[in-house]
Amino acid sequence: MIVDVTPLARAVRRLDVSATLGSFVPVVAFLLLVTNLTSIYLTLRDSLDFMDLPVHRDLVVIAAAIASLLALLAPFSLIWLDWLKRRPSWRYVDAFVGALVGAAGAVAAGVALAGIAFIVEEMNPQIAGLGAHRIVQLAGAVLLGLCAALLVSRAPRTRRVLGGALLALLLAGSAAILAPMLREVLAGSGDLPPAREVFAELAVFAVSVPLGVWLVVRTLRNRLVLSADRPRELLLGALPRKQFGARLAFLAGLPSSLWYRGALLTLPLWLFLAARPLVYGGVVALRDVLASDKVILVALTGVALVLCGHLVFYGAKRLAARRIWSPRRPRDARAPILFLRSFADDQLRFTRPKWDLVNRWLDLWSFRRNADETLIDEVARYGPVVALGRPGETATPFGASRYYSSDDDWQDIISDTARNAQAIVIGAGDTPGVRWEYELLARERLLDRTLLLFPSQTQDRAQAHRALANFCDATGTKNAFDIPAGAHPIALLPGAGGPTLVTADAPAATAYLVAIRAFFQSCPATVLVDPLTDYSRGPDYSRGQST
Amino acid sequence: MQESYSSAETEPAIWPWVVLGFLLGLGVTLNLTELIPIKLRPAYLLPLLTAGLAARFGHRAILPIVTFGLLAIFALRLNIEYILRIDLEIPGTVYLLAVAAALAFYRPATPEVAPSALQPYWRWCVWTGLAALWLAVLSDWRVPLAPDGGIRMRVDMGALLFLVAVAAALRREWWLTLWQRRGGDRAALLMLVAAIALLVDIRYGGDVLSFGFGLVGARAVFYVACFALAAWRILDWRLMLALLVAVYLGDDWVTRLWEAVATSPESAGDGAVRESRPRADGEYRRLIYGLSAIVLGATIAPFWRTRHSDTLRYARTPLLLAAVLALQFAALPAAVYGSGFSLALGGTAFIAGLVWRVPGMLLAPIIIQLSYLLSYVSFGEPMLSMRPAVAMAYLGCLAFTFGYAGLLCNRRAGSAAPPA
Repeated sequence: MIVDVTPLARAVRRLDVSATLGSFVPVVAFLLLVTNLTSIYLTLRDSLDFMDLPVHRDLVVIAAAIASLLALLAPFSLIWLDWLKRRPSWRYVDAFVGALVGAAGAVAAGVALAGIAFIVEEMNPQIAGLGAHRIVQLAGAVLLGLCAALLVSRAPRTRRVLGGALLALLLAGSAAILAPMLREVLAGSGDLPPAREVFAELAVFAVSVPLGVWLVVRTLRNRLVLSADRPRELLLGALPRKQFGARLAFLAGLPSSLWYRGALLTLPLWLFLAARPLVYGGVVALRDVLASDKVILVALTGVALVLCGHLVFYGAKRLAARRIWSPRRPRDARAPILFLRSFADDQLRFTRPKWDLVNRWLDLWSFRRNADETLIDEVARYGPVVALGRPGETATPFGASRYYSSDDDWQDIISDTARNAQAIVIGAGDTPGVRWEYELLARERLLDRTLLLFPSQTQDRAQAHRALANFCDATGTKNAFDIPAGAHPIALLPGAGGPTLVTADAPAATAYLVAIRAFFQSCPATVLVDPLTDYSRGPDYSRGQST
Repeated sequence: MQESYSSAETEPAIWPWVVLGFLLGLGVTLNLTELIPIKLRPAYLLPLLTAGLAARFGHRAILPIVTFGLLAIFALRLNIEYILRIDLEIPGTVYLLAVAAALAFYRPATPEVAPSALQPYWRWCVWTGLAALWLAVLSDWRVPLAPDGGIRMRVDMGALLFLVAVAAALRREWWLTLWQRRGGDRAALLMLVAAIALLVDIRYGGDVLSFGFGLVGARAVFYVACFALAAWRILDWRLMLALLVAVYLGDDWVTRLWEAVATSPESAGDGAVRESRPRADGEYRRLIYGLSAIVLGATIAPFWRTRHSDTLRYARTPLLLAAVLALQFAALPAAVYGSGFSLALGGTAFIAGLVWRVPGMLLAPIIIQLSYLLSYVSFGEPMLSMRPAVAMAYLGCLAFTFGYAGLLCNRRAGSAAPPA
C-alpha cells in the first residue's frame, strides 16, 4: 500500500509551527500578561481622566487583584488549553474558537474598508464635502472584488496579476491616506507628535497588520483541522502518561529526552528554558527601537539579546549531546530505540532551501533540521534513542546518544542492541554497512519493529526505486511498490498486512514526522489513508489516497 | 481515532446541559459609569453549546435545542437601581446561528411528511394557510388589545389563520401519535407555547421589571416557513414565488383601489386632495425576504434529500445565490438588520460554505460586503458617518459565521451519522 501523507504533513506542519511559536509563551506568559494588563489599565485610567470621570480606589484594587491572579494562572491556562486541544470530544470548542477568530477578522476587515472613508475625510478636512468618501468606498469595493477574484482564480498567472493589482491598490491607498498626514508631520505641525514617534507607530502598524492577518488565517486553519474527529496524537504528538510536568515541558518546547524529573537537575534543561525569554526580550526591544530616545542602544541591546538567546540554545544542545551511550552498562532500564544510518548522512538531514530563512529558523527551534534531532524530540519519551557515533567525530551532534566503537565490535553491539530494542529506525542507503544492517534485520526477524526512512536528498524516481529495491532485496521483502510520478518516498512502515510506503509531494520534515509518529503510535495505515481532506480545493480534491 | 460512545444503558445525562443553555440566556449589564457600561452576554456562547450537544448526543439534542428557542420567545429584564441590569433572553439571530451550528455537527434525517399524517386535502390547506400568512405579514394584521395599559398586547390575526390552516391539515391521529411517543408530551407543550407565541405578543416595560413574550407576529416564522416548504419540497418553489408576488401585487392593487374610492371627489367632496398611498418600505422588504427564503430553500433542497453537498454543485446554485444577494441589495441598502435579513444572508453564506468549502466560506463575506458597499455607494444616503463601517462589520460577522457552519456541515456530508 502506498499512502500519500502530503495534506496530513501540511496540517502537522502548521500545528508544529504554532507549537514552536507557542513555546515562547509559557516561560514569558506571566510577564506578558502583567505588562499587557498594566497597559490596558493605564489606557483605561487615561481615558477616564480625559472624560473627567472619577475612578474608585476599590475598583482599582479589585482590578489589580484580578490581574495578578490571571497573570499567575496564565501558564496553567495554557496547559488547560492543550488538554482541551487533545480531546476529540471537545472538538467543537476548536470549531467555536475558529468561528470567533474568523468572525473577528471579517469584522475588522469590514470596519477597515468602510471606516477608512470616514477617517480619510476626518484627517483631510479640506476635501470633506467633495464626496471623497464615495471614491474611497468604491476603492474598497474594488479591493473586495480583487480579493474575490483571487480566491476564485486557478491559473497561477492570473493569480499573480490579481495579487499584484491588490498590492498596488493597497500601497496606493495607504500612500493617499498617509501622504497628507506625513506632510504635516514633516512640516512640524504643532498638533501632531514628533516625526519619529509617528514613524515608529507606522512601523509597528505596518508589521502588526500582516502579522495579525497571518495569525487569523493560521488560527482558523488549525481550528478547522482540530474541529474534526481526527487522531490528536498524530497531529500534535503524544504525551505518553499525560503528566503535568510532561505537558508543561512539551509546551515549553523541551525535547522529550528531558521530560523526566531528574532533568530538573541538569544544566541543558535550564539553558533551553532560558534561551526563549532572551530571544523574546530581544524582539520586544527591537520592536520599540524607533519609539525610544536611545535608538542605537536599544537596537544593540535587542540584537545582543537575540544572539545571546541563540547562543544559549546552541550551548544547551551541545551540553545535552554530551550524554554518551554505554551499551554494556545502560543507564536507562527501558528498551532502547536504535537509530541506524549511513555515516555519509550521519543525522539524516532534511532539505530546506537556503533562502527559506524563516522556516529554517523554525526548524532550528523545533528540532526539525534532521531525523536525528526529530527522534530526540518526538520519541525519546518512549525510551533512550541510541546510535553508533561516526568514527573520528570530535563533537557529538545533538541527537541520539552515541557510542564510539572500534571497527571490531560494532557489529556485535548493533546485533545485541537490535535484538533488545523496542524499535529500530534505519536510514535507507547502499553502503556495505547499511546493507549488512538490512540483512541483520531480516535474519533476526526484526522487520516488524523497523521503520525505514528514505533520505530527503533522493534526487529522482529512479534513485527512490533503487533505494527501495536495495532494502527489499536485502530483507526479502516483496517489492510491489510503484512510486507515483512526482511523489517522494518518505518511509516504509511495517504492518500486519504488509509494509506501507509513505510518500509526499516534497520531502518535508513534517512528512517524516508523520511517518515517525504513525510508526511509534502504531497507527494503522487506514488512519493515514483516511483523507485529511484539503478543504481549500473543493470536494473533488482529496489526497491521502491509497493505491 | 474512533471516539467511544456510550451505549443506551449508560447514556450520559443531557439535562445539565439544558440548564446551562438556559443560564447562557442570562445577560448582565453593569453601569459603573454612564459612558462605559460593562456588558456580559453569554448568550453568544449558545452556538458552541448547541454544536457540542449535537456532536455528543445526536438526535437527543433536538428537543433541548428547540427548548432553547423559548428564550427567543420569552424576554425578561430586571433593573436594579439603574446600576445593574439582568436580562434573560437570546437574540433571534444568535438562536438561528445556534441551530445552524448544531446542524453543522449533526443533521437529522429529512423529515418525511408522511401522507398518513395529513388530511387528504392538505395541499389545499397548506396553500390557503400560506396565502393567509403572507397576506397577514404583508398587511400586518396585528390587533392591539390593551393599547393604553402598562402592558402592551397584540394578537396576530394572520397567525391565527395560519395556525388554523396547519391544524386543519394534520390528522387527529398524528397528534395522538405525537403525544404517545417518548418525550411527545414535552414536544406538544413546546408546540403549544410556540403557537401561542406566534399568536400573541405581550410586552411590559416597568422601571424595575420588563418582560416580553411572543415572536413579534407571524413574520418571525414567515421566512422560516417559506424556507422549510421549499427546502423539503412540500410545495413547488416556483409556484410559491408566483403566489407571493401575486399576493403582494394584489394587496397593493386592492389597497390603492380602496384608497382611490375613499378619496375620490365624489366620496370626499370637492376639496379633497387625492393622495397616492406611499408604498411602505417594510412591506417591500418583507416580500424580498420571503422571496429570498424561498430561493434559498429551493437551492438547498437537494442537499436535505441526499445529505451530500455534491448534489448542490450545479450551475444553478451560484445563480440562485446571486439572485438572493441581488434581491437583498438591489434597492434597500440600509436595511441590514432583522431576522429576515439574517436568514437570507446567513443562508446564502451557509450554502456557499457547504458547497465551495473554504473558498465559499471566505468568498461569502467578501461578496456580501462588496454588494453592500456597491449598494451603499449607489443608493445610500450621502452621509459621512461610521454607519457603513458598523454595517460592514455586522455583515462580515454574520456571513463568516454562517459560512463557517456550512463548511463544518460539509465535512460530515456522506459520513456515518453520529451516534444515536
